[in-house]
Amino acid sequence: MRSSISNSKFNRIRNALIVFGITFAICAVMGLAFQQRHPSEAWKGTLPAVDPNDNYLVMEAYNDQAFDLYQLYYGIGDSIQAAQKADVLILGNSKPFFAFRNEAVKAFTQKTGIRVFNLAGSYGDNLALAKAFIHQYHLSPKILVINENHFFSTALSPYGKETIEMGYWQALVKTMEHHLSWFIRFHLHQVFPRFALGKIYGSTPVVEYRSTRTGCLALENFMQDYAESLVPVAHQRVTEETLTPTELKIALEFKKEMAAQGTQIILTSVPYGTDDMDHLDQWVRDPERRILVAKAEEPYEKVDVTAKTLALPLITVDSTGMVTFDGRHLDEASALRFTHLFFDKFLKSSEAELLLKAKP
Amino acid sequence: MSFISFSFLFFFLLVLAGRVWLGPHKNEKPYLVMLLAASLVFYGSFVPWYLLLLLFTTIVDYYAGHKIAQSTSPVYRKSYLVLSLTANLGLLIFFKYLNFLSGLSQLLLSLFRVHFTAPHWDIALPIGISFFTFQSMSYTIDIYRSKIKPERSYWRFLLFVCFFTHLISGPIVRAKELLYQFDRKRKIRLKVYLEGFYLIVSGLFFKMVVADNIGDYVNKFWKYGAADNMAAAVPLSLTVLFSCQIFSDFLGYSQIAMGTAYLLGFKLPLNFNNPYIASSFREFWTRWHITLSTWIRDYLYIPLGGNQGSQLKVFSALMITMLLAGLWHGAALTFIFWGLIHGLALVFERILRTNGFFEKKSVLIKVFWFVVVQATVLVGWIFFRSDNLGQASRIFNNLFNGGFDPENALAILPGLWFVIPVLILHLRALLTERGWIPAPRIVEKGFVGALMLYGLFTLYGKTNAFLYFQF
Repeated sequence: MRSSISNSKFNRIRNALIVFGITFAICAVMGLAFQQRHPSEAWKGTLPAVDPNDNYLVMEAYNDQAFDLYQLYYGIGDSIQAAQKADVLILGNSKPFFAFRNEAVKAFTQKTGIRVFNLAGSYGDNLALAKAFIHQYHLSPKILVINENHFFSTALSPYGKETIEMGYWQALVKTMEHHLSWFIRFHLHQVFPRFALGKIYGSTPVVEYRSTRTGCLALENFMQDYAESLVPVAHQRVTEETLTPTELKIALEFKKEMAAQGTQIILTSVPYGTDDMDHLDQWVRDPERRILVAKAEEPYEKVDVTAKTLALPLITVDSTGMVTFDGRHLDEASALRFTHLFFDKFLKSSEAELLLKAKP
Repeated sequence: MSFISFSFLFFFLLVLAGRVWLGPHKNEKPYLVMLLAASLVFYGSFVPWYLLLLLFTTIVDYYAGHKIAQSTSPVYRKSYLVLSLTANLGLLIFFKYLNFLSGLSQLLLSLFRVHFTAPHWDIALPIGISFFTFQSMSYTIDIYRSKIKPERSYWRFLLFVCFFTHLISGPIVRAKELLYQFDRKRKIRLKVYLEGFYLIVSGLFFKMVVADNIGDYVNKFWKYGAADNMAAAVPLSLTVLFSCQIFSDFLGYSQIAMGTAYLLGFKLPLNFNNPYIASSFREFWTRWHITLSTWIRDYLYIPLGGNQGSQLKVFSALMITMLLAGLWHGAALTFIFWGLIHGLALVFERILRTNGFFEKKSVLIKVFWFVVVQATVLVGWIFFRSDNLGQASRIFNNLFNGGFDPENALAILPGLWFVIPVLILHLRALLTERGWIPAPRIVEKGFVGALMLYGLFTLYGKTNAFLYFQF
């Protein structure tokens, strides 16, 4: 009797496992067939090819984790070494992060031998985080290129704050988690495609490749989604607006500190979007973008006045025809053009001449 | 480390290996020691110094529990109980409610035209504090009520409070539900393992596929539900989506907690029992966050008088209990309002019951009241999710707007795909409870488990933190 009960239990478990296996196998086969027929509706772990001679940190957008900051701040990977060796460091918020593209920066380095590293992050951080990096790793480049867009502030973004507070162990765990997750998902989806069904951001993960050698954005797969609603950069306008007394004090102190370590500061201004009413009309249907437009609060040219006040050299470029993909950040073509134009002007500056002379 | 992480996967596999290696039979002290160490590592992995809070709470309650049991003097017994409650509630008030109370005092004083700028402290809320303080407190209260005897070993008591499967977001386990299991003979059985894996897979499915995908829509569109004159379809869809998100998020966590505990040889209490088929408010609270609702029933509602005494006393007890239940979820007026809605609903239902409204066997009345209950629950979620009362009231008002906003409504529509698993789950439970179909058998679980596992691999959303982590 006892034996027949355990046999029946065993049979039920066996049957359940068989049903499980068959169902799962059918799902897998049907999923692959669906992917073959509708590749745009199912992602098979493929991403655009990148230059294999560079190293990248792949960051997934919309996941609320600033892996690039974690790696840089805690010296995980080789990014911070590249920043330490750089002759020119770029600082600022997301605008220079999107504006200085890897391809153009690498071309400049190959041509001149001047090593550039983009330390700007895409999370709205400015001086406070930049100083934390500089002090943590004793960064002393010959030249600092600062994008003046509320740069001289002591505020940290939530990501910057989290990065500084989390500690090495947490940063390491999060970074490892991220890398492992990418690795596993990349391979998993070769067999089990990721479906777009019901997904607000589609089946393909939105990613940014950030070069660990230049710190610049090398590749992303989301700007094309905005191609139909690009926003031109703001028109040149003269404004009296400049730094607040507190910002001025912070800026002068920072300038003095950098001068003491032999670092020359150059200001720049990455062009960005406009709250022009014609575009507002185009965007009004998408509330998220509408909010972005409403936030385009001031023309970027205030940096002219700021540079004079701080007695710092300024490099700006002709932004005619440049566009932003979201009202705030340059799209790929404009960013490449900006980077080329910026370094062309930079090479003509006295600071660059000194730098080139010092090179063997 | 979150349950939804590779760190946790590796951590859990190590602990599971320990279970196979150290604890397959009766003499399991090393196994319990390993579980305690693992639980401390788990909690310390968030912020190490929070361990001090955990140790403080458990030392005070362990000591108070013994003193209460040893003492015959009612005054002493009460004093030690007060000590335990003060320590636990003190921590909770300090970390969770200090800024809220400070802001509230400013608001109240301004009503009397006293201008006072309330200070604001930068205090981070230690993860899981609302859960482990309640759990630890219930231990001393149960000893005071002579329902249980104090645990002899501090380390076993500590393991009861900090066992990693339920530490962060429940279920809120009572001492009598878990402590005895430490001595229980455990065997490794295939069926138990399969059940544990099924619970984990279903928990991951509801969290990563249902809750996370819906969460993307809710997070993106919630503020638009509050926009001026937004057509009703948008806030209504958002409210339905959020009700499924919060259910799936918390159900997912509870299932994973139960599944991991099961694999380690422990049984945790059920926390959710298909709340959206509840046909009365009272029933809803026997199905939603069961361990919290029974906790507040036993340790708050009944001490306040419970069902005894005059109508007014019962109503007051209900209102106070539900307001505090709302406040437990967060130090904000929106949560208090959510508690208020449920309190009023329970009071109203009680009045109807007293007047014989439910004694009529009419199907129409039952269906009508079911709709009222579920609609009220939905309205409650608006307040629960909103950033402030203003936003909540705008969304609520928009529910009665006419017109149609195809652009926004269509943008939200795909999110409704993820409501289907919640619907199926509830429909299956309804039919089973009515006796129309049998309870799921193991073969059916094999089929559903395969679908959920495949869904997990192919439909997971952006990983959002568990909603109940913030409580």
